[in-house]
Amino acid sequence: MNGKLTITPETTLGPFYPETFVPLDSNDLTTTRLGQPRAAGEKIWLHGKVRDLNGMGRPRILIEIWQANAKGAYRHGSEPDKEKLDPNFDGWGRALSDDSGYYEFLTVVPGAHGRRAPHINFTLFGTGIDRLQTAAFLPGSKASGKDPVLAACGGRADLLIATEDGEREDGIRQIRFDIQMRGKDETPFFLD
Amino acid sequence: MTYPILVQESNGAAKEMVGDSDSAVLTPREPMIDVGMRKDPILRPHFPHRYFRAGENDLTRIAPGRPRAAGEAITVSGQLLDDEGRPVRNTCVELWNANRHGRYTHVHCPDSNGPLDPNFHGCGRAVTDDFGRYQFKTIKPGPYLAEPDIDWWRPAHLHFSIYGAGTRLVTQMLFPKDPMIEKDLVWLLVPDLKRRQRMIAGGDEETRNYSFDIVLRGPSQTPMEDEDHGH
Repeated sequence: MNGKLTITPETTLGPFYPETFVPLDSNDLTTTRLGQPRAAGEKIWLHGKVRDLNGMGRPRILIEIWQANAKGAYRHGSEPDKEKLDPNFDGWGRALSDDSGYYEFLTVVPGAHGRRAPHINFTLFGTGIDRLQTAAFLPGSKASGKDPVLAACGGRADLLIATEDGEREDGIRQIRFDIQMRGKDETPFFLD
Repeated sequence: MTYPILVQESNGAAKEMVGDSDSAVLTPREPMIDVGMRKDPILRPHFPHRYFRAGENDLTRIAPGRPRAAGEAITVSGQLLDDEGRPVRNTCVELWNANRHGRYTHVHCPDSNGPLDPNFHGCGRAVTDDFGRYQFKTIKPGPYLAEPDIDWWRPAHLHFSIYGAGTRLVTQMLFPKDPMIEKDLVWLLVPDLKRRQRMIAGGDEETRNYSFDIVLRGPSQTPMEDEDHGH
């Protein structure tokens, strides 16, 4: 039976997405609201650059991240382990890349969700591109391990593993995840 | 000048089309990898409701009591549905559009798009009700020349961004009976003719009420309750 409705098409974000939809604190996942307690777990800076075919940093790419909390639970209706939810962690943030293509998030190290290796889901939007999905895995993740997403990426899986990047003056560990939109070492993007 | 680009079809196949310079350097060359996203709704974000505030769905005034923006005030309302026709409730709808001249209130929008209107910011938000319905008041935007090199005009359009549990969509609404649509690259780049029709609103000039239903792929997901954030 084919009773399904025709789906609305996706378009690019275009160049004029309002910056008011990306408030300054929307890249801080460690608190749900100013003045509320901080999320449980180890804080990290997750940062990197979005680059185009020519290696140029790309400004105004809208980056949304979505991740499990320190115990590996997602704030989602389908989460089986609801008792693991952290009231101070939503697991969602957004940022716009700056003029040099750089972005940063302050978040916590996600725990393993089921059999998945700890990771942070990325959604990208911009001018000239439709929505793209990818994921950053924590440094030390093994492409040869059991994670089904890494396994599906085969020989390109290493491109999804973030790298240790020292410590910031605030004492918080940094991990780096650069996104190559097209060309050599192109970031694997996911069918959705 | 146009550039050949490879466009990814939903089945993963690549197809060559014309695009602008951004598409040429940003569109991935490799095929999309099937990692099972369509089977695992948890991989798609659940947008936290703490971002919502009530009363952000009237774009015709910056604040109550301030002068109305210039141009034709219109109402746009519709329903969010999954592909089985069920309402998608409790989901955020972001709207942004140019002013009556085709100028966006955005730092990167050039003067050639026309003058700014100090009474128009051009962005707002709504949350769908239990029937999946939303409503906005805004100003009907003007068309504008998007790419002089290829004489590409954008017809009047509204931008929509939608997210709820397991849902993420960015799309555009076009106005009915607009002759400019047939030459619009955004429109032409949608490969499926039936899907293109989804981008055209119902309603007309006379009533200034437009209807725009949005159909999301897949079954609707159960939203996570957010009461612990006291919104």
